[in-house]
Amino acid sequence: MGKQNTDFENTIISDNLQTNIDFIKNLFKKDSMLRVRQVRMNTGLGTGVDCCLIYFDGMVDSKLLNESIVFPLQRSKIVVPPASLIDYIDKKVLFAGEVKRVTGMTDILRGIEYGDTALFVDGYSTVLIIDTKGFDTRGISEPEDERILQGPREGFKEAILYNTALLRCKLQTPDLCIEAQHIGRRTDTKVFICYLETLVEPDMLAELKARLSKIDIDGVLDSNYLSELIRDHPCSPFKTTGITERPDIVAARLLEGRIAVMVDGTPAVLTIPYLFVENFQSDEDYYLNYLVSSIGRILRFLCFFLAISIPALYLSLVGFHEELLPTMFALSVAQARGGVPLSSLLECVAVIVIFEILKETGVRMPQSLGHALAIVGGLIIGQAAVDARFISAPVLIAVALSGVCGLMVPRLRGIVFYARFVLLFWGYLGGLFGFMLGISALLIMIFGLKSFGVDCTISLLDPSPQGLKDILWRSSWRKMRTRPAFNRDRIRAGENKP
Amino acid sequence: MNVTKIKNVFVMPLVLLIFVLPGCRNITQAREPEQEYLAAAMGFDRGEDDLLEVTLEVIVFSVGEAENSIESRLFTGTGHTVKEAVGNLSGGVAKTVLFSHCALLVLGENLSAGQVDEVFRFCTTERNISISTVVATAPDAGELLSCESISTPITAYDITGVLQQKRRDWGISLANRLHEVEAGRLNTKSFALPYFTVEKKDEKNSYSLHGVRIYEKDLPSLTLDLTGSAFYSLLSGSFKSGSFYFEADGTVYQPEVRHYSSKVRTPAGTNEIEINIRLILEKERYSMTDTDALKTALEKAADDFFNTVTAACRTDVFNIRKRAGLDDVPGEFSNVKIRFDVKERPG
Repeated sequence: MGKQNTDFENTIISDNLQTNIDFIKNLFKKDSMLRVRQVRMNTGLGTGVDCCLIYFDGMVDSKLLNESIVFPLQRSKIVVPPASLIDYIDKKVLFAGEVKRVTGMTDILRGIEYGDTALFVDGYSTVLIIDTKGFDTRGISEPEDERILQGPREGFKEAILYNTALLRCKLQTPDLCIEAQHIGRRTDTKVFICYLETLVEPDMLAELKARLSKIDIDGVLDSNYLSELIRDHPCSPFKTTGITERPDIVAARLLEGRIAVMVDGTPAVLTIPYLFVENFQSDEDYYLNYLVSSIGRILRFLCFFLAISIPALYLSLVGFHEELLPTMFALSVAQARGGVPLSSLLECVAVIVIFEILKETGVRMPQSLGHALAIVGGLIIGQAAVDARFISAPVLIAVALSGVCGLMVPRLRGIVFYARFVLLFWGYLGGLFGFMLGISALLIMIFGLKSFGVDCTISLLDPSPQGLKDILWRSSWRKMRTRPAFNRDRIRAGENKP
Repeated sequence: MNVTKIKNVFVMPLVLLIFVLPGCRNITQAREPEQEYLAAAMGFDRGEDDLLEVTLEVIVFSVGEAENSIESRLFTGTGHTVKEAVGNLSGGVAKTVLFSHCALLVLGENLSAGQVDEVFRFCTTERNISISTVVATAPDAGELLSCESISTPITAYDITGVLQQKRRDWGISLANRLHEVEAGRLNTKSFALPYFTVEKKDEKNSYSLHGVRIYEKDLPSLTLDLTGSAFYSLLSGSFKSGSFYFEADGTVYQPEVRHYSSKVRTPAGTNEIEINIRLILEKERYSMTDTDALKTALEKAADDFFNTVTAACRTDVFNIRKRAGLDDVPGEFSNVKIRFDVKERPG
C-alpha cells in the first residue's frame, strides 16, 4: 500500500474474529464511517459460526450488501466440515460478482477503502473481499475542454473502473492490457497502465514503469501529478505527455502503439509518447472529412506562429524596420502612438497581461458571466484605453489578434504565453534579427524534445511520405496506412481498398 | 541526428547573443514611431555659393486629433553634400528624420552634374530611401514642394498622384523610379523625368505637369511637352496604357490604348533597327474607324518625334541598344524604322 510504512503492513490476520475486529477498529478509531456488521451463520448443528462484515458507509451498495451477502449468510445452513467453510461461503453462499480471498491486512484495507466489503469468519485467517462498490459517481458527459462538433460525446469520469470499461468498449480485444499500480503514500491511488501488447514498445513500457515506481509522494489526486513526475524535461514548458478525457482518443492512441496511464479520481488520462504535432491535432480531425479537417490543421500551425509572433513582429518592424511598413500604415502607427505615455514594449506587455487576466477570469467565471466579462473587458475597456491614449490602437489590434490566434491551439497555451514574451523582448532588442534568433532558439528547443526516448519531432526528423500524411494536414484514411514512426509494427491498414 | 548536441552548441551562444544585441540599437534613445519625422519628399537645388540646397518635406500630425490632422512641414538646409545639408536643416528639426518612406525626389534644373551625382549617391547609398521612390524635376525644387496641395495635405503624395493621373490621361509613363533612373544613369548616361512647373495663382503657388525633361550625363538636355512625353513613353518602351493626343497633317488624334507592347529588333543582314509597336485600342473610346489612317499618322508623327529627339540628344535616350540586345556592338544606328501594328478591340 503505497510507500507509507505503517505497522499493519506486516500484520498477519488472526484466526480470532474479535482480534481482527479490534485491530481494524483501532486502525480507524477516528473514522466514523467504518461499519462493522456481525452475523451469525447457522451451521444446522446447533451452534453457529460468527462472521463479520467490515465496510465503509457510503462507499458500498447497501442493497447489494443486504441482498447478496447479509441475507444469504443468515439464511444458509452449513453442514460441511469447518476446513472448507471459506470455500463454501465463497462458492455457494455469496451472490456477489467478484470475491477475492486475501490473507494480508494491506489487501483488506485497500479493499474496504475502495468500496469493497471484507468478510471475516471466526476461526479463519483468510478473509473474503467482496465487490460491493456503490459510491455515486458523475454521469458520463462530454469533456468541457474537448468539445467536438461531430463524433463520440462520451468522456471519462473520476471512477477509474468505469473508465477502463469505457476503454474496453472501444478496444474489444484480448490484446488490451491494463496493469494496476498503486501510487501515493497516503492516497494509495490506483493507477492503470493500458496498452496493446502487440503494438507497444517494450522498452518504452519498461521505462514508464521504472519512472512510476520511483515516484514517492504523499498523494496523487490528478494525472498531472504523474505527468510532472515522469516527464523527460522537467523544466521545459513543452508537454511531453499527452492528456485527454476522451476514451476515443485514448483508444486511438493505443492503436498507434502508445501507452495510456489512468489515474483514479480524475477523468484526465495520460498518453505517451507525446509528439509535438499532437498539439495541432484536434480530436475531431479524424471524424470530419479530411479535406475539412486539413484546413483546420494548417490554420492551427499558422495561428501558433501568429500567436507567438505578432507582437514581436510589430515591435521589430516599428522599432527597427519602419521602411518595411507600407507608408500609410507607418503613418497610422505613428499617429496612433502620439500621446501614449508608455513605450511600445511596455504597451505590448501591458496589453498582453491584461488580455491574459481577462482570459483567465473568463475561464473561471460562470459561462453567463463570462460573456459579459468578454464584452466589458474586450470591447469597453479596450475602447476606453485607446480613447484615453493609455494604449495605441495598433498594439491593441496586434495583441488581440495574437490572443485570438492563440485560442486556436489550446494545447499550447502555456507555450504561447511564454514564447510570446520571449520573442517580444528579442524583437525589441534586435528587431527582425533578434526575432529570428528567438524563433531559432524555439525551434532548437522543439527539435530537442523527447518523450520517453522518442523524439517529439520524429516525423520531421525522419520524413517519409507516409509519415507526413498526418502532420501538416490530415490525409484520407485510405492513404494513412502506417502508424507513427516510433512504432515497431507500422502497418496500420492493408492495401485492399473498398 | 543528435539534437542534444545541436542544442548545446547553439542555444548557449543564442542566449549570450541577447546581451550583445543592444548594440544594434541605442536603447537610451529608443526609437518610437511618434518620435520621428517621416520624410515625404526631398528637393535639391543649387543654393548660394553653389552649395547644395535641400528642401525636406516631413509629415507631422497633432496628438489627439483625428486622421485629417496630418499636415506637412518644410525644412531647408544647405551644404556641400546632401548629408551636410540635411544636418543643417533650418527651422528646428527636433526629431530624427526617417527617410525610408520618402515618396518623391525633386531635382532642380540648375543643379550641376556633380550635384546630381551627389544626390543619387546619397539616395542610393547613405540612407534607406526606397528604390521605388519617384524622381521628378522642376525649375525650383523647393518652390515645387512649397506649393499648396490639392487633394492631400502632403505635397509629395499630391504630386505622385498627379503623375498617376497623367499616365491614365496622357499615357505618360516613365522609368522614373529611383532604381530605374540610376540604371539609366549607369547604362545609357541618360534618363527622363516628369517636369513640373510652378505658377502663381491668387497669391498661391500651384504646379502642373509640363511634360518630360530628358537628362544626359546628369544635365538636362531636352524638354518635351505632354504630347511629346507620350511619344517618348511609346518609343522608349515604358508606355503602359491610356489615351494620348497627337497631331499629324493637321488632324488631331486621341486614341485610347488598352494594351501596348514594344519590341526592338535588328533584321538579319541589315544595319537597320526596327521598333515594332503593337497597340490595341478601345473601340468605344476611339472615334476613328480607319485604323490604317491612324497607323500611318502614328508612324509619321513617331518618325518626326524620333528624329527630333535623336538630333537634340547625344546619347541613346530611347535605350534602343539594350532593348535590341546590342549592348556590346559599337557604332551608330542611324537607320531606325518605327512600325505600328494597330488593332481595335471592343471593351
